[in-house]
Amino acid sequence: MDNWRVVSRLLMVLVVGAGCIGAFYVGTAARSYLGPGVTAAYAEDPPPGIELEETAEVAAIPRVVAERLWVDDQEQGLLKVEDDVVLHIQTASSGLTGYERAIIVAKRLEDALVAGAGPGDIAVQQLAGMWVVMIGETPLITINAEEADQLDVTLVELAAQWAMDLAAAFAEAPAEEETEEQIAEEPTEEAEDVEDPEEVAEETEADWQPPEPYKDKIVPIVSVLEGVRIGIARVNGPQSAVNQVQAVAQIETHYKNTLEIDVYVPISTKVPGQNLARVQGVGVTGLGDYRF
Amino acid sequence: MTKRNRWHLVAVVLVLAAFMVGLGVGPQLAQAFDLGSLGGTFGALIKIFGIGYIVTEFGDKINDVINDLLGQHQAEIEGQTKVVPILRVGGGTAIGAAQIIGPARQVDKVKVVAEVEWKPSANIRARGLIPIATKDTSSIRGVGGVGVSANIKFPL
Repeated sequence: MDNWRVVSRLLMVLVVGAGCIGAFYVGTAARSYLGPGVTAAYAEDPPPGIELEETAEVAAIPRVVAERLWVDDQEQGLLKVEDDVVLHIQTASSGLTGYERAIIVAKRLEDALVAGAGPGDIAVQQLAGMWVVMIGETPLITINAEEADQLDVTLVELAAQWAMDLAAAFAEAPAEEETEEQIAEEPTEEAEDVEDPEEVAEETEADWQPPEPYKDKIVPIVSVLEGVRIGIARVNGPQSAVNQVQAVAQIETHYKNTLEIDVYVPISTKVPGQNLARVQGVGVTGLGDYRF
Repeated sequence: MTKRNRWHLVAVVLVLAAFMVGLGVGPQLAQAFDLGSLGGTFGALIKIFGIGYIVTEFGDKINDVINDLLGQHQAEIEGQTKVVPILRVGGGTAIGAAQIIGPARQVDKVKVVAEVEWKPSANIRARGLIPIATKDTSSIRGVGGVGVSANIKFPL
């Protein structure tokens, strides 16, 4: 009699368990028919988080200089930050040559940095119908159509590109060469960050030498499916390879009907062809998009 | 209340609780889940275990899918690739995943991609994607020679 009781209770537990599993799936089915909830969102559009100005640190006020460059009897200007060329101003505007414009940008930048501005203060604004790169409330440079035409980008793309270049130059960028030096020089500090001691040993011993200097470039992203520009990408790789990159082709796909995957292919043509002319050795290190 | 009725009540409460749990974690219409298919199960896995688990368990398969797709477009990658989570700078929770490319030795070092978001104007948004050798995004050191080749977006 007691055995029968135990068996009947076990059976009851099994029946209730099966009922629970069934109810769980009925619940999930009901949810799918109720439609999207308020929490539905994609990883690409997370709520506003930490921005560059809160995380990047400016070690010291960097040296900003303008340099003259003659190209086909045209006076152009280079804006250099700590000897790195950040902007190349090719065209004249408002009666000022490219070099003169570079001098003005350098002066305004330096003044703003001395006053405490940082990379997070660099912005793009439309003032009186013109796209302007700003630092705080100060206009740095106005984008002109001739410059954008020469580079084969739109006005807003050029504004975003220059703003990103400037911000990256002033942020404490994790430069590759510096990183490798740091890894070699500070093995104990690196060891604190990595869990596996064997990996730490490998990392500290490793001394990766790039075959040639690496550089960055900003190019348009072109959708392979639609053939239109859908944003801009910052690419990074060996100098000779990056020089070949004209655009980044974006291919969209899905995994298990759930994950949305955007694949980026740096290409040597401005428009993706049937077969993509991939430039090997180049990766994407930044994405930008604009909406109106 | 008799002992028997009490058991019935417990059973009913358990079944109702299971229904409510199902209702809470179930897929949403906007994401076109098919409960009967693997996609539905996959979506539930993301919700229950998070992006980190999915990357650990399915990272190699996602990597293969991307590389196969590139092969179809005659754009195969020379070098090593792998899929790692994307963490926002200063945060510890994965907000997505990325396929990275680069020399094998360097790719092996990368644990996550750190994301820095920057809005230079109301309608322009920029995201810096920096492959790093640790899961700690409070201080960032990029791994040289490694870049991102695909952005994998998860429904949250």
